[in-house]
Amino acid sequence: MTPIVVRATVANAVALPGHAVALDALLMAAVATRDDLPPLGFRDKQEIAIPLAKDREIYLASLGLFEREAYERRFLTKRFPIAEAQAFGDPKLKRVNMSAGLCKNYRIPTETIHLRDDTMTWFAIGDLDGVRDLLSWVHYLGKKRSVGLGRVQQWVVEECEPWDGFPVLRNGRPLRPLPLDWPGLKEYRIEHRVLSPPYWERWREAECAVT
Amino acid sequence: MHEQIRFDFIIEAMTPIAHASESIGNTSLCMREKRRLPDGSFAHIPIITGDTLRHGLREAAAYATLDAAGMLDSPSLGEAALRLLFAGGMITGSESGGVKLDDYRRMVALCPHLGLLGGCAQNRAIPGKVQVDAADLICKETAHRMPEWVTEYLRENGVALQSCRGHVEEVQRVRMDPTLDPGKRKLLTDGGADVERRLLSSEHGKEVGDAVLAQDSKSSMLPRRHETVIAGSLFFWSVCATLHSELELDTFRTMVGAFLRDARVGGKRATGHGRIRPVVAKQITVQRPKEAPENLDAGALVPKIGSLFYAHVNERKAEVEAFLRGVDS
Repeated sequence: MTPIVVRATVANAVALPGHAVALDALLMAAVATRDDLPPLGFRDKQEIAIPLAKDREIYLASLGLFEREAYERRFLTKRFPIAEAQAFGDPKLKRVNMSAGLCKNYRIPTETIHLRDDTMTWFAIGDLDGVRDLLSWVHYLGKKRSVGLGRVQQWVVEECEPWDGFPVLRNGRPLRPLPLDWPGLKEYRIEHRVLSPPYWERWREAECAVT
Repeated sequence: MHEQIRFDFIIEAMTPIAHASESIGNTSLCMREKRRLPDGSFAHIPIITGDTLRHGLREAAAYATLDAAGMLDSPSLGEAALRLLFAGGMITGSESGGVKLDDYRRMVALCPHLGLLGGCAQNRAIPGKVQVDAADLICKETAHRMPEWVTEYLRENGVALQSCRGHVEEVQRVRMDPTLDPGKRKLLTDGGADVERRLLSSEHGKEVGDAVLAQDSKSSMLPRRHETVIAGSLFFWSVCATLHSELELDTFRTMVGAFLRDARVGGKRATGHGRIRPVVAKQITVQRPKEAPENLDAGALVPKIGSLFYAHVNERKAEVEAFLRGVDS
C-alpha cells in the first residue's frame, strides 16, 4: 500500500447534486460492474473488497476534490408512452391518468457543473496497480451517467508525497467525513454523514467532521 | 465474458432536426449545451441529448422484444408493462421489501434489454449497463474534441468545418385558420355568416384602434418560429456498454442496429424533421486497447446481428407474455 493521487479528466459537465464522489465507493462500484453483481437490494450485504487501506473501519481515501467553474441547467423528463398504449395496450386499458399517479409526466430541473481544468482529484493509500485496474472500468462520474454526463477522458494514478494526516486530512481540515475523535482534526464543521460505502444509506448517518 | 464495448458513430442529419430545449414567446430554441473551447472558455453547441438517444434505444429494444415474442400484432400490454418497456418503469412503492433476486434474474432473462438499460420494477430502481452520450455537432467549436479517426474522415472527405451558428436555422411555420378560406366557410352550417361578422368586427377594431375588439375577434391563425439544425449536419455520438454474456452483446447490437435503421430524434417528426443516419461506425472494445479498433459497416450492422437475441426471446415468448401481464412497474 502506497500513497497515491488519482486524477480524472472529464470531457463534459458532471451532475453532482449531493456530495462529492468518494474513491472507495467508486472502486466498489467498479468491482460490481466488473463482476456483474446484482444491485444492492438484491443481494446480501457482504462488503466488496477494494485495494485501499483502512483505519478504524474507514477507508483512507479522500472525496473527489474539484473547483466549480461553470453551471448549467437541464431537465429530467418522463412521459407516459401514450402512442404505444394506443397501439399495444390491452383492451381493458381504457383510461390513463397522466395528471397524477404513476403515469404522471414530469420535467424536473437539475444542475450540472463544469470542473475547473475539467479535473477531479482524490488522495488515498492503496495498491496503485489494483486501483488503476479497477478505474479502467469507470468511464463516467456523478449522476445521470446513463445519458453521458461526467464522461471520463483519462485516469491518471500515480504515487505521491504524503503529508501529515494524508490522505484524509490537510492542514487539520478533513478531506472526507471523519469521526469527531479522529486525530489531527482542527478546522471542521459537524454534519450527519455516512462513514463508509454505500454512502446513500442515510439510516447509517452519524455526526461527522467535514470541511 | 467481461467486456466494455463502445460504438462511436458519425451521424448525419437527413432532415432538419427540431430538438427544442425551451420556448421563448412563440419561438422554440434548439437544444444546446456548454462545451469547452481550446482557450478554456465555453460555447453553447447544438446537441442531441443522451436522453433522447437513450430513449430511442429503449424504444427500439422494446419493439424488438415484442416482435420476438410475437406480441406486436395482439395488443395485450397493461399500463405497468407499457411503463416498464417504453419508459423504464416507475417506483410503485407497492412492497416494503426489495425485489427478490430470482425475480430480478427472471426479468433480465425474459427481457434482456432491461438488464442493459435498467429501469424500475416494484419498488427498486435497477441500474443499467449502457451509457449513451449526447451527440455533439461536428463544427469549428468542437473539432478539437473529436477523436483522430473523425478528424481523418473529415479531412479525407473534404468536409469543411463551419461555426455552430451556421448549422442553426430559424424557420417559421403557420397553423392556418380554416375559417379564413371563403370556400371552407361555405361548409359551415350558417354558410359562414357568423365567422364573416367576427372577422369584419376584427378588421373594424384595427381600423378604429380598438385593441380589445381586434384581439377578441381575430382569426386563430398561429404563426410560430423554431430553430432547427440543418439537414446534412454531422454529429459525433458514442454509446458504451458493459457486457457479461454473448446474449447481452447481441442484445446491445440489436438495440443499436434497430434504432439506427430508422432513427428519428426531436420534435416535428410528422413534418419531415429529425431523421438521422449513421455515416461511419466504429466498435471499440474498451478493455483491450492493444487491439486495433474494428471498423464496422454501419449499413451492414442490422442483418448480421440479433439472431441470438431473437431466438432467446422467441423461445420464451409465453413466459415473456405472462411476465409482462403481471409486472408491477
